[in-house]
Amino acid sequence: MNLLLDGLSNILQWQVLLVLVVGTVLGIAIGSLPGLTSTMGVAVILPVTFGMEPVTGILLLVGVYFGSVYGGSLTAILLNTPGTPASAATAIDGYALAKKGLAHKALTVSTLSSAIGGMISVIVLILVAPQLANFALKFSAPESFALALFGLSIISSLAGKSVVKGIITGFIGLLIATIGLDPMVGIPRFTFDKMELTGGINFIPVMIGLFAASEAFKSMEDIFSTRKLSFTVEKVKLKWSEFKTLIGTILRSSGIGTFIGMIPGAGADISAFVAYNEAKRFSKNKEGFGKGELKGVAAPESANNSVTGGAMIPLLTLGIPGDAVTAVLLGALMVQGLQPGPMLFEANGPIVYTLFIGMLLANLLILIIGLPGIKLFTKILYVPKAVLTPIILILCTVGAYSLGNSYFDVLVMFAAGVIGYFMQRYDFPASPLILGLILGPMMESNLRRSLVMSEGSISIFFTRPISAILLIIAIITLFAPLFNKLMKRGKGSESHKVQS
Amino acid sequence: MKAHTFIKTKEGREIRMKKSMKHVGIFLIAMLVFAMAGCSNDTSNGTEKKAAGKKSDYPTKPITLIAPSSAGGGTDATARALTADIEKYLGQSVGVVNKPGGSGSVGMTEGANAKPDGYTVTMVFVELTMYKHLGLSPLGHDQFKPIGLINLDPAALTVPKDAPYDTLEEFIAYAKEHPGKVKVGNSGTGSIWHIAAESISKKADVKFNHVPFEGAAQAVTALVGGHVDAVTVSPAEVKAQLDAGKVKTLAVMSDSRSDIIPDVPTFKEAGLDVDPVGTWRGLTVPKDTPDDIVAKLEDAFMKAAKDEKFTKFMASSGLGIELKDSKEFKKFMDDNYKQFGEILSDIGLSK
Amino acid sequence: MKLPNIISGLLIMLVSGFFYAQTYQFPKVKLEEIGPAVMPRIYAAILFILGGIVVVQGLMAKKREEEENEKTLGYAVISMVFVLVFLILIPVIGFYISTALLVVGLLLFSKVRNYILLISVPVGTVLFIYVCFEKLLKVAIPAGSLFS
Repeated sequence: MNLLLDGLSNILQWQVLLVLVVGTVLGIAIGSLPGLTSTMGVAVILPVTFGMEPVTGILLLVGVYFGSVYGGSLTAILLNTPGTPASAATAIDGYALAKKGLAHKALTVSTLSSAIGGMISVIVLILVAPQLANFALKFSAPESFALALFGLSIISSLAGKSVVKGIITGFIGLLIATIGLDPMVGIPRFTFDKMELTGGINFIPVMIGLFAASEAFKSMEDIFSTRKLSFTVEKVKLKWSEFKTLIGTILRSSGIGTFIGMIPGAGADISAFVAYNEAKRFSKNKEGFGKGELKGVAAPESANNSVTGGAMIPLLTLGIPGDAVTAVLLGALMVQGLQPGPMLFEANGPIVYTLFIGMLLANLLILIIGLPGIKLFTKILYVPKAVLTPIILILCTVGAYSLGNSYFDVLVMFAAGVIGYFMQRYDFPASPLILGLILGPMMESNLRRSLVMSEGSISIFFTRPISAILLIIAIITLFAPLFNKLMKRGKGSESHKVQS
Repeated sequence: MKAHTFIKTKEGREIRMKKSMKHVGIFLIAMLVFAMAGCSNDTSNGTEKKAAGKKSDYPTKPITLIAPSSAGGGTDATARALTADIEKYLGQSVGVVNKPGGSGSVGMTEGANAKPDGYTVTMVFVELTMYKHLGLSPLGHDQFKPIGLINLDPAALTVPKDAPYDTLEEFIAYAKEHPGKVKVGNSGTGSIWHIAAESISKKADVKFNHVPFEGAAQAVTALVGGHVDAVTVSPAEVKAQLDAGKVKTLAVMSDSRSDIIPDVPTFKEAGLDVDPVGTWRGLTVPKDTPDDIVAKLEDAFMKAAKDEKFTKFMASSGLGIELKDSKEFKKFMDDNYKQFGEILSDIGLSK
Repeated sequence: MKLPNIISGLLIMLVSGFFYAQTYQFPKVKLEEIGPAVMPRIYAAILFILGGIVVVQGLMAKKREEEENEKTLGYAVISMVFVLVFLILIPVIGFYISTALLVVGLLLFSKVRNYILLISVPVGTVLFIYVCFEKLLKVAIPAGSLFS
């Protein structure tokens, strides 16, 4: 406790606070622009921190990291353009809400959920990090495979009007993910001797195209449509009674996010989809999802922000980075002479606790900057579509390009935009495709890695408790919709019998 | 005065320019002559002469350094740290541009095909000497002119702390008793750390179960979690776990001991005479770049690599600094190319 | 949804069939139980079957539903052509000029005739990208082969 208080007094210096504010604002801006990911934001800012004090430097990066995860939701809700992959799930219901004129409400929910989710995960990090870290270590290839399979089982609940079409786009995602060098033996697959394809198809340009560019093409149509589909922004504020119904979802999703965050190799994007699915599973109003359900915003947003604290658990306690962002942070810590691992807490206790307080503050800042900002953010909806659409198309292009300074990525974005437009037109949902792209490589390489480890025996998946449990949940999730239908039909035929 | 504003362009090195106003006039005329000569001759000759004409002046604009990896990796970090203060030595800033994809082959190919004017420098790494063998890309190190080697990290054989062996000898004896059962994690089939493990197994005549991961960090995580029995990655990549007392390193695959873990013997000292295997990063320009430009870059980058800020960064990141000048670097890459070719064809991965 | 389902289903079958066939072109490796070709082959096979289901669904659908916005489809396709031309122009005349052209082109296309907008929107977009992406984030924005 003393350490926490010391940390608080260390933080309350204007330089540190200022840096934290600057970092969070920068992060929000980076996160909201399509193509600029959290990893990229943190990596670009990293050299700036070399000359800083350890705490100041790391907190600048923490601000950028946390802010960017939140920032992705702004454009996802307002423009159907997820700024980062972590917000792809938010776009589903967030944009539906915005279309109903409830952008203000949706943004309030996403801001609150992001901040609360982030704080919960930091509190978990402070209280039980070492215990959880050892659990995270139990995750290896078989567990990761089971987790990926579980993630994929969500597809059935992401599918819109047609389940078959949802599964189809999911499998298209899986198939696209196999393009490029094979993850295990490094032979080229479906590369057609094109050098650009050896690296595989980057899923971020695909996501930008499917969500943002296709939406831009569609809004060109709306401009000419005789039926006026103009956006209204009703100043409907979130009511306390509405927020109360979200608390359960936020808490559950924060738990999911923290858990997935600490598992090596699984990050914010996956957690958002899983939380979305669980929110739907627990909801009485399942039909409302996809059409503008507040829980559909609260769940992915609290989950993806709580990944931040979760990812810090193995990083700080074991020195193991769970994803790309924390790998950059690991470098940043080491440059500052802070070697993450069990020794960090003993050798640099005060600094660690100052960082903890800083992380809590960063989440608080999301609230302080985000809530008053909502009015400003929703202004974008007043911009006429004729003006906004070309700007969005340009941003899609520059966003796809800046990922890897690659013209090829821009072409991928464009192709995805065109295909996405027709998919949307004919009821093929985009989000299962993104999920397949994210989880495909994780599932395949871990399946094959497990079999290498077990020398070919599939018993490795069932003899390890975590993997066995995850597989069972995956199977339940996969067949639950089918089972529900059968139950209903069973009941229906029974009552029929009684009648006849 | 017109000439002055013309030369000044956007970089604004006015002071030097004003002093050498007389030279500027001569220089301009020379440029004009060369430009005309360039137009009349074939193009390659033209650029050569133009470049020669610029001799005293290079570099006049910021230089691009291609890092063929995504933002955030070791290559990216090394590139950014190395160029952070390079203006001091080069007179121009260097901007890092990430070009990930194809295990680095995308960025490197672009670097090799860039204009040979010294304004595009590429950070290459060990995979460059392996693409051809693996059939991943027709790109080879002979398509570059080396500037210098900056970083080298040897492979190190690391096992869990509670493993039943404390020395390399005991490890090999154990592996001989359990053929094909010892799981050795690497950073991908055909990767440099896979080659390292294969080199051991070939020299010691033992059989491992090689488990490929997405990268070295994932392999180390699996080692700490007890899912594999050993890893052959660099000391930097296991240093955090070494300090935490979770793992022990039995030997490093280099000619001399590693600065990061000076207590650990080399393979030769531990009784197994294998050729050094390690990952490295160096700087190159396209192969037609004029020698005087290469010399300038070599001078500036070697100085930047000795800069205290950079050495501190590398040390704290656990990355080893190994400087080789243009000539040595070329020989080094030639040797690597031969060595990896042999190992890869032994394990049936060579195309 | 009758015709679109049949077409999209057939398209999916065609593409997945092509990918399935391609897996037999992969270089052979001896190292593993599940080789590089196994998963793509499974995915492609399932896609092929699902594509078939969509075709059947299309055939079973009773009547061709009224396509409400068939007319507006043309506008979306034209805007795609605009972007395509823009993408082709980038390597030639550079990102900034092409950006200005695309923005002005799309504005004119959507019947914007306000001169203030026609000037300020492209200039603002270009400036924003220059400052944020080129200067702050150090993205190497293509200058175009005409100018380099």
